[in-house]
Amino acid sequence: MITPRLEHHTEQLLAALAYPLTSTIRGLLFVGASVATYVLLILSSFPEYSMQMLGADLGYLDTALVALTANTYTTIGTIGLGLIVTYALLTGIAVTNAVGRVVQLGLSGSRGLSSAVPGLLASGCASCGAGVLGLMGFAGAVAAMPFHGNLLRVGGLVLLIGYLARAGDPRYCRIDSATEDK
Amino acid sequence: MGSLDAPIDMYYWSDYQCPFCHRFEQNTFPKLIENYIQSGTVRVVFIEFPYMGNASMTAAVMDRCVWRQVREDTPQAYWRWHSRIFDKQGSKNSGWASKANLLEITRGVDGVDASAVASCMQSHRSEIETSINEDLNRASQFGIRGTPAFILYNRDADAAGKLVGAQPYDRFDTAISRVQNA
Repeated sequence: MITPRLEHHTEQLLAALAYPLTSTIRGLLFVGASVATYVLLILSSFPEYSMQMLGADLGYLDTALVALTANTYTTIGTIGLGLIVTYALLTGIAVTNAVGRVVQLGLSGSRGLSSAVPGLLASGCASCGAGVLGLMGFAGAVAAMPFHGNLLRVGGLVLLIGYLARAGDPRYCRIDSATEDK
Repeated sequence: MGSLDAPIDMYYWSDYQCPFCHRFEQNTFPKLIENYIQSGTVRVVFIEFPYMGNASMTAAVMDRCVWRQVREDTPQAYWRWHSRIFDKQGSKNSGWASKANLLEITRGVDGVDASAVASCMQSHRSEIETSINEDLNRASQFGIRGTPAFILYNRDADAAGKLVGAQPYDRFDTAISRVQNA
């Protein structure tokens, strides 16, 4: 049985997911943020390699992306790569949503931002944490993680979905019904 | 591998289960062999860095057993074995690097006696694992956190450079020239 609260959050989530499709600018912002997130996540899977390659020449970006995408796929499989792509897409939506909220309400009025920033940081840490662990010298940590770190990535996705379900479509005010909970 | 008189040492840390090492072996290493190792400029020191599971350690121990067997009379057989194992690389910890399967692959390598390798594994595994663990500790002191990793060292000039990951040939080309001219 679906409770009113769950139904409300599901509606909010669907509204948030659809928000980037409501204008060309939002769509472009969504694509840009998603691509940037994917690039960051993939490069963070082997940070020292990425830094050496890009430090030598930014023209190596495509080589590094192709090599690390192939390596990620071979290491953590279709599910792992799918989680990274999903995470990048949801981050693109969350960023578009947060920018929309600022545009609509201004910084002082954007209540949703208070949850967006910690949510993005926490989910970001969960998602690229594997690469950060490698950078810190815990080379075997990722290999030892359950499902090659995929559980960590799922944790990041849950946080992002939670944020979006709370935020909804930034063009509409959220009405927290106090009586609903009584 | 290479001429003992080569002025540049290339220390190469790898794990037989590492897909990025496989990428290096396929794309970059053959050109390095052709242009720098066969010409007597670089000699390669292979160092095991098994961090991707128990099967990695099994492959690393077998690597040492093969080397012990061939180093005096047919050191080039070691290269054939090393190359063949990477050619046969499967998914991480999927069973492809079990002792039985690695011995099966070894039987197909000219100049390597699989029975003698099995006997070495039986008698000396513990001692070799201790030695490999010492190599792992030493690698961490050099800042090696993942594979493949390389340190290029010009003994005469006492100059060194470090490369990590399956970088393209031109990156090695530049790094070798830099160390050579130091």
